[in-house]
Amino acid sequence: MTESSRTLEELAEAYLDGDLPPGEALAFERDLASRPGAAAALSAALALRDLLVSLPPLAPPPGLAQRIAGSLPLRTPGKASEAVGPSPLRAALGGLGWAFRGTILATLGTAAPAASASAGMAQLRWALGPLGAPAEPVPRARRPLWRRALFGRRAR
Amino acid sequence: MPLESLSEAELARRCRRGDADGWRELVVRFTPLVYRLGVRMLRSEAEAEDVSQEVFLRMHRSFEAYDPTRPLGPWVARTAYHACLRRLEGTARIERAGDPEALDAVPDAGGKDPEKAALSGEASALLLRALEELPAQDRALLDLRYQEGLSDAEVSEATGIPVGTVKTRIFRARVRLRGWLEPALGRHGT
Repeated sequence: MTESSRTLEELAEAYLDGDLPPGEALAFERDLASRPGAAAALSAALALRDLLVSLPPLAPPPGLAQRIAGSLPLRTPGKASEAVGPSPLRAALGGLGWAFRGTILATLGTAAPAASASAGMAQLRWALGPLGAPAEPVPRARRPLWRRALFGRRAR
Repeated sequence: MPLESLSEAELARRCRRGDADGWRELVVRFTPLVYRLGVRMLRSEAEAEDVSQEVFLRMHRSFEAYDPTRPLGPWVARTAYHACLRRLEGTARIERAGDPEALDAVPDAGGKDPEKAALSGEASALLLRALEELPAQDRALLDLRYQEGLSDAEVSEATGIPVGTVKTRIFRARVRLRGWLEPALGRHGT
């Protein structure tokens, strides 16, 4: 939009917004002295802005903020640990994990009983250990003494 | 440190941690902004109260979406602005186009509305009546810009409207208001 196509009111608003290109802004400033109505348009634009800024602020009703805060599901500091329980999804997956583990144990117990006491203990630890706990390293069987004496230490 | 003096960034960190006192402070600090925007857009104090409650519940549920590097005000205003828009759309309230003659049909300013009654100047009373003739979105833009003191960029962030469009709409709204208020503004400005 060029200066010629704008009304004085639009020019005054654009001038106050700083949206006029430098050349048009200078021309408008010259108009303020010479063009009838330019100064009045500028002062009316300023007056409207003053009015908009000075409208009395609407105050919320007393107690509204407190009512809103009271309706939020906020945790009290002392009960934080009670409030933060496992999510329903996590609880469901945990139950599923136990059911799955139970099935495997039942199968192992009938089809492949523990071959040794240590294997039995490992099964027991796995069965009773917490879900998601890092797996313990499985101890490797030591090589017999005669093999270590004959072939030495195995290279890593 | 008293909660009132917390910076917005620190307040946001506390809210993100789920700190109850932080949330109470956030609600106290931003309820006026949300309520004012609600009254301006919905033209009902009761609805503004409802929408204020809805806004803070919504923010509490989705605080992870807040970018802590940005100021809180525009984010709160954005949540409030869109909540008001949803209500307007939900009730299918048609925004009247501005009509200077409609001002004559508006009940006299300073009636039962305490805000209007508190106004001493004729120009301010007329302005409040004229504002009611603008579409809700334009009222929100003017409110955020002049009452809340947000910059054009922050108004853009709050409303999701591009900066250029924000400037154009505010510009047109002002021109329209001036057309309606010309006589009063002439007296006010002199």
